[in-house]
Amino acid sequence: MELIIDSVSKQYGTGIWGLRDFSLSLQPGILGLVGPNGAGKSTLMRILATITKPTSGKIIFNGIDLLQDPNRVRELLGYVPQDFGIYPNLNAVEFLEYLAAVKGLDGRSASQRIDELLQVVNLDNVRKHLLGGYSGGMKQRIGIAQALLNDPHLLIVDEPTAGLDPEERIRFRNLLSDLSGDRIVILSTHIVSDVEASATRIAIIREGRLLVDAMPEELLQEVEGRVWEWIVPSEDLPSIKQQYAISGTVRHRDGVEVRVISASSPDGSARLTPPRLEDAYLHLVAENGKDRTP
Amino acid sequence: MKGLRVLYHIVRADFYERFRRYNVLIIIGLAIFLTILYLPPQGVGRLSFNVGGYRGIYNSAWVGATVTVLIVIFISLPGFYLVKNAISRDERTGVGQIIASTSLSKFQYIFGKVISNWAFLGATAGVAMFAAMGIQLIRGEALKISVLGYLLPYLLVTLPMMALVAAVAVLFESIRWLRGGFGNVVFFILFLVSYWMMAALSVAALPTTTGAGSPSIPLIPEPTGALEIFRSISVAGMELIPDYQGGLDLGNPFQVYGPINTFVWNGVAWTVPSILRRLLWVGIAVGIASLAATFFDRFDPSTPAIRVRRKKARSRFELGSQLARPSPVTLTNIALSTTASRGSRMSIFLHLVGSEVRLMLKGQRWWWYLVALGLILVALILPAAESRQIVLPFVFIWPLLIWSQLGNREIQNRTDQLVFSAPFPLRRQLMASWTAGFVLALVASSGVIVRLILASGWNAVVSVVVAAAFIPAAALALGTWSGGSKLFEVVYLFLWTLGPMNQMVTALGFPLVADQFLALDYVGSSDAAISAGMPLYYAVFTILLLVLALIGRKRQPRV
Repeated sequence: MELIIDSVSKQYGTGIWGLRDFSLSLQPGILGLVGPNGAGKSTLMRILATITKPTSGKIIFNGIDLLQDPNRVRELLGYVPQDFGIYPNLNAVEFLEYLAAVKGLDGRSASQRIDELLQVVNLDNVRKHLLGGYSGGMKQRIGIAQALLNDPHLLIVDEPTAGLDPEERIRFRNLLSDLSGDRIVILSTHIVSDVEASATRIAIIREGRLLVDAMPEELLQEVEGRVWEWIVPSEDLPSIKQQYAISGTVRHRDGVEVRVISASSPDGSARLTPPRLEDAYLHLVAENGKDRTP
Repeated sequence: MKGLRVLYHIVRADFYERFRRYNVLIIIGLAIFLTILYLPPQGVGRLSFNVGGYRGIYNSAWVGATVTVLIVIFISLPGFYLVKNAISRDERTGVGQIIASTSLSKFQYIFGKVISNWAFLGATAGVAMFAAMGIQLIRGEALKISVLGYLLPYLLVTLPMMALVAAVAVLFESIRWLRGGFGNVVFFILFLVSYWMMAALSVAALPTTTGAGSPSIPLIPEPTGALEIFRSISVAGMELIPDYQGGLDLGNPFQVYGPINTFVWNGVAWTVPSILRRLLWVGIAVGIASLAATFFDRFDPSTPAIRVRRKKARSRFELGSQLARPSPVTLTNIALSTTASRGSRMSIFLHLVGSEVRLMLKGQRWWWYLVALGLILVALILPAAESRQIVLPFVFIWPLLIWSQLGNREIQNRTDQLVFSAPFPLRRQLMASWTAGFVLALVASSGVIVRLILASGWNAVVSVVVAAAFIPAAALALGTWSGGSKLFEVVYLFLWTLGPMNQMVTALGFPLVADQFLALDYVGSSDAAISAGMPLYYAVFTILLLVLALIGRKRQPRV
């Protein structure tokens, strides 16, 4: 199973690019697609989900040309959009039954699948309530359930954990890990910690271009020996922000503990600390956007 | 002073938001098109607005009056539907929640919306007025432009009517149950009533040689203000046109009358009572706006405006309390063992049609089904001719708000990305939607169809089946292209009123309009329409509309 994204570009207007010459080749596993807001993640997701056509480039999934034959890919596709609605007068079962019909699934087997999916997304106890009364997080879970209806080989999830509480986030990450064994999962997010635990590969996107495509360990290697922590007085914080890329701060009684990415020790009291994926992400994004790290 | 500044900014933001949309060009284009149509050049033998076959020469007074009448009669209706989105847009975009958390009062907000509606409609009418000046010069019958000839009817007839439309639009948006398609239908009926009121009042108010009407009878204020113009023209006609019997004809610009006679009319002589009659409607608009402010719920989603909303709120409360309980999350229980299989192409399609029908009917109340069933039974009981002529028009209007969801439901509910990323969104899902609408129409008209079959009225059966196919095709085409339900609701109401409804009331002896409009009888409720080949024409239209819907849908998801 392979997904090949070959030199894909999307132009929205003169000089406005959603994606530029984006290439990537994926095998089964979870790809964490991360990047700042407006980087082009959702554009890429919509193109892969056959919603939007690219301006140029080619996408091949398992030998099927996604642009030439989108319907064959759609049969193998599960998609959770970043922003989607529901039919407020249907309950969860009816809504999933409707989408199962839209996806061309057999009614009887879809019904069993729906029962199971509602348990998985923890909505079994409210299955007969109208969706109009659901909270944002519950709607999100319905979105996840519908994407899994057809047992997709290619699962695309765009900012899936927005609106989920911490417990549900963990549950969802585990679900994705379980699902990823024999399928390609693309998980787009701007929250690096969402992909830290589950992604087998990370792609960083910025201004429509692919910055990095690497294993999480390789990314961590990039910032090994560059992450420092030390406590500074609160009033010194603005000047430190000017000098270094700060990846985190924690308030203490005696000041603020800052975590910076720097090639050399920023202060006599600073100590090296094991890097996290967030440090690597910040380092790479900052470096490609006029690096401030010395 | 601060209040005025706030008001100004609400109006300005709304006005810019509207005027920068392309659909403003549609309404301006429509106004200019009607103006050109209603001011045909001398020599082509066509006549529109006239008294006893005479029309005024195209001076500023006549052109200004013609455009004014066109605007208040023909543009105010689409104008209402165009501006009836000021509050719902704020709700949809979430801006309403931000506004609700500020110190802005309900009255300030509502008056801001009314004034912005008014400004938009007034500006649109103003553009049409400027275009009319150009047409006056092009026609060249009177080359002197009199600003007052345009300005006075604009200020005293157009603007008060537009104030009323602007305020009613906001009132309909403030009352939850009038905000959607039902409100669109209610306004259409109100508009028809005010049109008939104007027509009925004109019988008494316009002078005739028989003395049936008299200029001495004080005019009863009517909202459009067209009567002020009609009376002035009619009085001038009595003096200047020798064989004029009285009355006034809006005319048919498509009909050739032969040589056209003209006379000179110099405009309405506005008096204090006539000005007060017009200003009264501005006062009524202010009253309606105040009423709207009292109904306005300030974007509070928990306002139990209707029972359904109460039910939803209760449902939300119940869900909230269920979620408050600690959920038994065990992270190891995540496993999916079953996989759904795919059926044959036909079984998939039929399954989808069934789902579409269920989705269409979901949320309908019991009384909706009761009326639908009642219409089927009445059609079965009545003789075939009455069943077709009287029951059929009602059968084909009752599910209007269900059909109007076709083609735009996915956009309105933001499920488009879910639905369009499924296989075959064009040939499978779109066609299933149409089939569901067709099935609904067939079931709704089943009483009439059975009655016609029993009476061997096969031609009529064919015309009913064609209508059942045509209506969802029209809904789908207009829904996919407009992205909303309003366009179909308004166009279909027009078609239905002038077509089958007009046929029905004409047969009962109360014609709505002078013309029969056989071409608009898409249900074939009269033998004349069937003989004229309407079923065949509408079958062709149905195919064209389906093609249009396919193109429109292809545009939506960019598949």
